[in-house]
Amino acid sequence: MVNDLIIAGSISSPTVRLDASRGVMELTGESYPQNAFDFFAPIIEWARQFLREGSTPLCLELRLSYLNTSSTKCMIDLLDLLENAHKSGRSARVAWFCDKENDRAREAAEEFREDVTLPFEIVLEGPGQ
Amino acid sequence: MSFRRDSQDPDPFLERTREVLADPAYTGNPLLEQYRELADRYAHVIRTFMKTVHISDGYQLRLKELNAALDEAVRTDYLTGLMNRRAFFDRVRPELSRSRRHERSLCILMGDIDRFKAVNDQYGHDVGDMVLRETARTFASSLRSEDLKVRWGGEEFLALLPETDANGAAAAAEKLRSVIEQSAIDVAGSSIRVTISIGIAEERGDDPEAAIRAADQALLEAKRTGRNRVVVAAP
Repeated sequence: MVNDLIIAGSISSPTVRLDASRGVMELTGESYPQNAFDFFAPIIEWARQFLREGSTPLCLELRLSYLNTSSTKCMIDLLDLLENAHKSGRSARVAWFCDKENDRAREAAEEFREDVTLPFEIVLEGPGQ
Repeated sequence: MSFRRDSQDPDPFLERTREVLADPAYTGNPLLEQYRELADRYAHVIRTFMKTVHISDGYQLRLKELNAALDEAVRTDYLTGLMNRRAFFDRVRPELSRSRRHERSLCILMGDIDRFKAVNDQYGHDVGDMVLRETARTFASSLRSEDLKVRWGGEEFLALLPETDANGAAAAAEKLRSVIEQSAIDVAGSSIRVTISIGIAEERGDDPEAAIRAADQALLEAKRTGRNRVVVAAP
């Protein structure tokens, strides 16, 4: 079984909580780390292992108000991974929480959703919730 | 533009390749199966690339919007919504050159609420802030849209009046003084009235600081000679 993975957030990188027993991946904050590919590699690897090993449904919970270009690319890769799992019958879904006053963040979430068929919910919430 | 999963391939070469690969004559050829896989991956990479660029553009737009809002915020006085000193000094030089180019005069108007400290002492700072806000509103609405209206200091307001000579400025100042004198500010169950003293100076050179000092001197003169008055600095 995959171990839980927790990465403390910083000003330029989100707080990451990957909970294997609940099957929840939480990313909260802004994402513009020095090297987004290095930052996302263990997260993507975790998801790959989780989806390979068990049968627990996987939920990706995102509260990301800003992603730089390479983080955006990594997020698309992560979504691709979940999408492929979904297509091969594995239960995987996305909940993207957006500040309701940040139209651009919502539009970005819609853009991410456009290319996938897995359940993808965009939830508008008040700032700081 | 966006590339959906079902949309056309964005590359005409890829489209032709797919047509060739669709020919039943090639079915089962292992090399062409590889080729087909390669074409699929290539299409996927292009889609991901375009998607990334497009989403990234959206985030950049958000940053630009936040920058613009921040720029606006650093130029605005938070309490009254008038310009602050920084915004004024950014605007005053272009206004001076414009008025010199058109050989028009320009005036500085400096106003200060009379005995404002007594309002704060009697009613508290929250009420004082409301009085400031209301006076700023009257100040802004009594002047023309092209005048620069600034919160200069605590209870001190400055306006730059383009294409206005001392007589015009004195008329505008008198109207302002009179409107403020007649307005009651209803706050916290009280009806508060304040008056304003105003100094005016006509700007003649290209030294805004000198005109501001002259207006300030005229304002002191208005205070000294009884308050609730308009004084025009001698040329």
